[in-house]
Amino acid sequence: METLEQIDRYLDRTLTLDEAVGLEQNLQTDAELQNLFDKVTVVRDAVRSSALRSRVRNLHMQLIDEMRQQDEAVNVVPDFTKVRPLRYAQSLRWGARVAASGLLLLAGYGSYKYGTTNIDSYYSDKFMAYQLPNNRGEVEEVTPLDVLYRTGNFAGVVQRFAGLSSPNAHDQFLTGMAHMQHQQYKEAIERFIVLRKSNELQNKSLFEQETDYYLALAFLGSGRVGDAYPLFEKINKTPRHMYHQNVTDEDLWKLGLLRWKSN
Amino acid sequence: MSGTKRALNSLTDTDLLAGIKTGKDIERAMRFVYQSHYRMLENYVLTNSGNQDDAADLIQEVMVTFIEMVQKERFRGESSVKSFLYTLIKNLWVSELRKRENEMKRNEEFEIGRDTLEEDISQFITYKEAQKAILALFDSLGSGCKQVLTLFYYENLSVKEIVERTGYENEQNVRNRKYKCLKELTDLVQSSPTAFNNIKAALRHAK
Repeated sequence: METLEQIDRYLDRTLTLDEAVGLEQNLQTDAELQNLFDKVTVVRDAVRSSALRSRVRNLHMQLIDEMRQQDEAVNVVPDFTKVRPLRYAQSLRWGARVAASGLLLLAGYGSYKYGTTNIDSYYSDKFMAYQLPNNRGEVEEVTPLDVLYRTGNFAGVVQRFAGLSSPNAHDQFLTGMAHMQHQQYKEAIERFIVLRKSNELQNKSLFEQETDYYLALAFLGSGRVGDAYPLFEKINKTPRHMYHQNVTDEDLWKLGLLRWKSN
Repeated sequence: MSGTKRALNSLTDTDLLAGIKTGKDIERAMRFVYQSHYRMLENYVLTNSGNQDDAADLIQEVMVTFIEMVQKERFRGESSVKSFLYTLIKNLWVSELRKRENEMKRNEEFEIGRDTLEEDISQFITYKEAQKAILALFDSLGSGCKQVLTLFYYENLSVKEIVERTGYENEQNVRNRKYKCLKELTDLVQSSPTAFNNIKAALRHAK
């Protein structure tokens, strides 16, 4: 019997007892045999893992398809709609038109945008109600603030927050969002800034990306375009930012106009 | 609600682990995990700088790791399946972020309070990372070799069953092919010492 086959059968436990004992004794003294034994063990495991990956991939596609169909059947808006779709197609079409029509049309487009873009319309376009992740309550503790926020009792969130002796980052953020829901931008800004300062002091990054976006919107809501712009610019320049898709180059251009108009 | 769904909803952790351990109920187990915990896992990635594609890729990775850890008895139900899956996705995502050289501050937070179970998961993930190079070598084999090795080692079929299922003329031909392919793969590993040394080191840490 070849050594390779002997090792393979040993791992399958199909060698006789004498053969298995003999192999084990040789493994103690023969480094080359030990090396081959390790290789066979590793490749057998890799074969299994490769097949399992393939099976999981196929099942994943099937199950995701079924879940989508179930979502559609009960007309539930899936969570992933939180992130808006990219507007690349629109931007590309616009870009192509500009390229074809020359600078005169670009100047005309600029004038049109300048005339129609205002803070209110831009804010309305960009604001999305923040939704608590569904996993909160399954692994983490659900707080009374969570319950109030989930049920849309934003005044209750603010009231409850006022009674907290040592609010944490989650409390600060949720209360900031409750203020946003009531267009209380000054109060929202205060909550988000306290949270970000606390992060700085503790060298943490809790809700960092969320507050990039919503603090920018709160600045915008209160007419402070100059303060909002650097945050939107940061989001636009960071491809992995969770709100990157919400701040396109065109958005930044519009914000530039708004900033210029507000000066 | 259909009878199948009702049965799935009532699947206990013990039933789930038993189905995975034998390898005979992978589909049922995965269906249960997706129906019960997919959104939780997805939300973890989405709320930690990931996107939909990251979540879909990572959840598949979670399933592969979960199934293998159960089958290798590295997880025997010490915690609930839900908590275990959550810990898995957290560790896998941190590992992915490290690869992307991003989010260093968040990584530091995760390092704090790591318990024995997480340590075990972390070691297993290191092993799985090292295994990727060996998987690539397996992928480079011809389709005939991949098929015969998969039928032996993953499907656990006997030589006789493989003859019945494939076009091989007799059992001896199947055996010959198996060992020829096994040799080809071990030779490939031999010619990739870095890949082999990495996985051996990961195995040593995991012991």
